[in-house]
Formats: sequence, C-alpha cells, structure tokens
Amino acid sequence: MLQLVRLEQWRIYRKPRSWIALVAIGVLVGVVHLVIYLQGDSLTSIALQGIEHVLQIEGRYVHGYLVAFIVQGLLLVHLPFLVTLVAGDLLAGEAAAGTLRILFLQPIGRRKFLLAKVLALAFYVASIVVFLAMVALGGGIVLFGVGDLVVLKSSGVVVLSAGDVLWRFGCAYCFNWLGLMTVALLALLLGSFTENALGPVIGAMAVVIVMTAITLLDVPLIARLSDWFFTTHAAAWRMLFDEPLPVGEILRSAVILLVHCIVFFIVTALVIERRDILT
Amino acid sequence: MDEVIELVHVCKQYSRRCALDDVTVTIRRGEVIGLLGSNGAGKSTLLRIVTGLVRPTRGTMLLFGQSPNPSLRRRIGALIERADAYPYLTGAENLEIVLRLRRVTPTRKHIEALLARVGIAHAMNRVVRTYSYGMKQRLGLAMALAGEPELIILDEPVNGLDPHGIADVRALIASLHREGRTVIISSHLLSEVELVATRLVVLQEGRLIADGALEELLERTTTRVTIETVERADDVLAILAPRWSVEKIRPHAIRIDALSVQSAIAYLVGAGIHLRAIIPERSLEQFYFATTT
Repeated sequence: MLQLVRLEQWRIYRKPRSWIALVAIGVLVGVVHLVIYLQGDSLTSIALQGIEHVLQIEGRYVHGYLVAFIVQGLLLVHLPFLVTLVAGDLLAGEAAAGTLRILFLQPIGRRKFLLAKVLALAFYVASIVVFLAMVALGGGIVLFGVGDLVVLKSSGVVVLSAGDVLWRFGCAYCFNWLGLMTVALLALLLGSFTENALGPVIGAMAVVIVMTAITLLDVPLIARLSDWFFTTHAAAWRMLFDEPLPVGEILRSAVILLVHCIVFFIVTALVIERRDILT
Repeated sequence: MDEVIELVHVCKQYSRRCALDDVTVTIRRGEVIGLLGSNGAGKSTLLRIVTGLVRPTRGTMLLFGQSPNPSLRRRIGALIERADAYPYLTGAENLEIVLRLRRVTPTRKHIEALLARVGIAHAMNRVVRTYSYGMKQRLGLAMALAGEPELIILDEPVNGLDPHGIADVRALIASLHREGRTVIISSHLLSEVELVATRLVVLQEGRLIADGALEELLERTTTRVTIETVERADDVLAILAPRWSVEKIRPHAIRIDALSVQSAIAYLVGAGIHLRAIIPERSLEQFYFATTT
C-alpha cells in the first residue's frame, strides 16, 4: 500500500496542475502581504468595519496573526476550487486519458487503488494547508510581527492575547484540512461517474456554492437543513477563535465533516468497484 | 493446467445492447489466438472481460483454472485498444510505474531492455507528450510485456504503426510464441493475423461463429488450387480444358477449382505431365468474408 501511495503522490506532484494551488496561494497571500505592508494602518478602519468609534485600541492592531486570519477567510472559496482541480482529475481525468485502464490492468484491487489515491490526496491537501500556514502565518509574522488578535464576530469583539493564538491557528489549519478533504472527496466521488475531468470540478464547486447560498437564506426549515451541510461546518474553524471556546460545537462540526468524508469514500468505492472501464 | 482462459456461456449486456452473447471458448497455453470480427462484434468486450476491466452480465470465467482475482492479473499483460500513458512522464517513468505495480523492482537496465524490445529505447527519457502515435503504441506493447506475463492480450496492436513497426510486432509475437507464451491478438489486418495466429476465434454481433485451428479453418474455404508443372501451362491447358474449367496464370502454372483438383491431377499424371507443386489458394480474408457474410 505504501508503494501505491508513493506512486500516486509521485504522479500528483509531477502533474503541472497540482502546482497551480501552491502558486495561487503564494500569489494571493503575497498580494495581501504587499497591500498591508504598503497601506499599513489605513487598513485598520476597513478591518474594524466601522466600529473603531466604539473601541479604543492601543498598540499595533495589524500584525502577522491578523493577516493570517484575514487570509484564511479570503481563501474560503479559492482553496476548495484549487483542491478539486487535482481531486477531480484523480479518477475522471485518468478515465478520460485512458490511464485508469492501465492501472486497473495491474494485479491490484480497485479498492486498494482508490485508498491509495485518497491517502495521496490527503497528503496533497495537507501540503497545501502547510504551505498556506507557512506563507500566511509564517510570512505574516516575519513581515508584521505578532500581537493580540482582535477578531470581529457577529456577537461582538473577541480579543485573544498573543500567547493564546498560535495553537488556535494550528487547530484551525487542521480543521481546514478536514474541510478541504470533504470537498476533495466529493470531487473524487463525482469523478467516479464521469470521464471528463472538468465535470467533477464544476460539480463539486456547484455543490459548495449552492449549499453556501442556501445557508444564507434566513428560513427556519433551511436553517435546520443547512445544519447538516458540510459547507456550514467547513467554516467552523472560526469558532477556534471564540472565547470561551465552544468545544462541543467544534467537535460536532469535525464529526459531521468526517462522516461526510467516510460516506463520500464508501460511495466512490462502490461505484468504482462496479464500474466497467470502457475508455 | 493447460487451460489459460475458460469462458462458459458468457454474456455482456450494455443497457439494451448485447455486446457478447453466450460465448463459450477455451484458450490453451502456447496458443496464438487471432480474434476476429467486424466493428462492434464484441472483440474488445471479450478482451475487457478477460482482463477484468468489464464484468460479464452472465456466465463464468476461469483464468489459469481459477476464479478471476486481481493477483491473477500479474500473469496477464494487455494492450487494450489505445496505448495510453501519463503524458507528463517519460516513457521510462511510465514503464517504471507498471513494473512497480507488478511488484517488479525496475532497474534502468530492465526498463531499457523492455523498451529496446519494442524499438523505443532511444526515446526512453522523453516525456510521452512528445511521442508519435506509433511510439505510444510501442510503449503500450512494452507495458503489456512488463513483468513477463504468461498471457499477452493485444487489441489492435499494429494500429498507427508504420510497415517497419508492423513487421516488428509480427516478429515480437513470433518470439512470444516461441517462448511458449499465450497470445491473443485482435486486429482488422487479416494478413497480419494470418501470419502469426495458430488458432482463430471469430465473433459476429456478440456471438461466436467460428473457432478452430487456422489451417483447419482456412482449408474449409479453399476454392481454388494452383498446379505448377514442368511442362508449359499451354500444354496442360490443352489437356484439361475439354473437361474442366482451367485458367493459365503463369507460363508453368494453371489454376483450377478445388472440387475438381483430385480428378484433374489423376488425369494429368495419367497423361504423363510432371507436377512440380500443388498449392491451395486460401487466405484469411477469403475465410473471413465467407464466415461473416
């Protein structure tokens, strides 16, 4: 299995499209860093969204932690898209290119191949998240230093001391990984039905956009429904910056995402196991 | 165990279309099978079932005397329809993947030898994206040979190959046959199949319509015979023409209907004509058209 995972990883990283995500993250975060570096304190009022009149802030407000927090929110839609580019290609792209046939002609069961692909995908998503952490948080700290993190919530303002922030970012990145894996596995599932690599990317993003849009509708029935959407829980990393920490809610969101991942994987395995390879 | 493949009443239904209908066939070790049939006859479906890419709707299949399972595919090498490969990897890297999946530790020497066998060792370090169609086809052949499989399935292996390439594939199949390996070749190039196959399996609209040794099947469709003589064809013609329909084809050769050949030969010998050769005119093409129309 380790050999299979290594081969999958090797192929993922040899594909030019796999590097799009890393380049895009690098560029996006670089632009954010540059803007903050050049505009400096004039961005404070934008970040505080007009509440600077009711708050008295002393010391540095814009620093590496805030920059990383802003970047995390900014990339909410971009990251899933970048991940589906690779995840959608793993089955559908290989089916379209005829290489899925080459793989399935080898003396290894289809479920093993799928598991190897999922593990390699998990590693790829982790590498994206680690890269994001390095450039957004690491780069932010190097350029702008650290300080107490002021986070705006609908319920008010949360101020976290500088020493209480880093572990929250660590957990938030892990949570991000889980959220991205859910979208990636959805793209993989959609890819198991088709032989067009673009289909699962568009399909998975359509699901993300539709679910997010539905969640915004302020209707009780939809609120109950959207409580089970993975898109709702993928954004739960924000709760890690709440005080007091809503541990129960965070764990519930993590479990719901995990269940989505497992269901997507099982359905993909069933489809792949029964699928006739005609390309 | 001499049986490599045993298909018993195998059917494959794609929604409403029946791609394979009640096919029963046994393929033995060391045979070179020419799998023939027009487009849509079910050849690719049959090969996909054998390689595990497609599941039969009904019927049973045994591979090497066992129910199909993934580990048995180590004993099967296949090139099915198109030779596809990862375009962003080199030929050597593509082959390395296949070898690793077949649990063969790939050494550079091993990879080079395999690619040399199919004539593209010179391009082993080029990415496949830059390969011509024929080169991809040769790489597909190398992938099918990776891991020394006992059964080699080649679906349209000469597609896109130039005359040298076609001759190379012919020589390759002959060498595999000499090594005692079982080969199934599906091709529309009947002349090529005729040169390499020891047995024919013919499908039409999903059904098996002919199965037997190449010589035996061709014998059935022999309609004319060429008789070569020491004497001039004009003299022979003068003797036979009053009794049989004969034509001169060369200065010392005549052609006669296969049904008349026995009595004509006896007559010629009786007339003191010296026979140099008796050559039945038969071709796979003749057999194929006679069988499938």
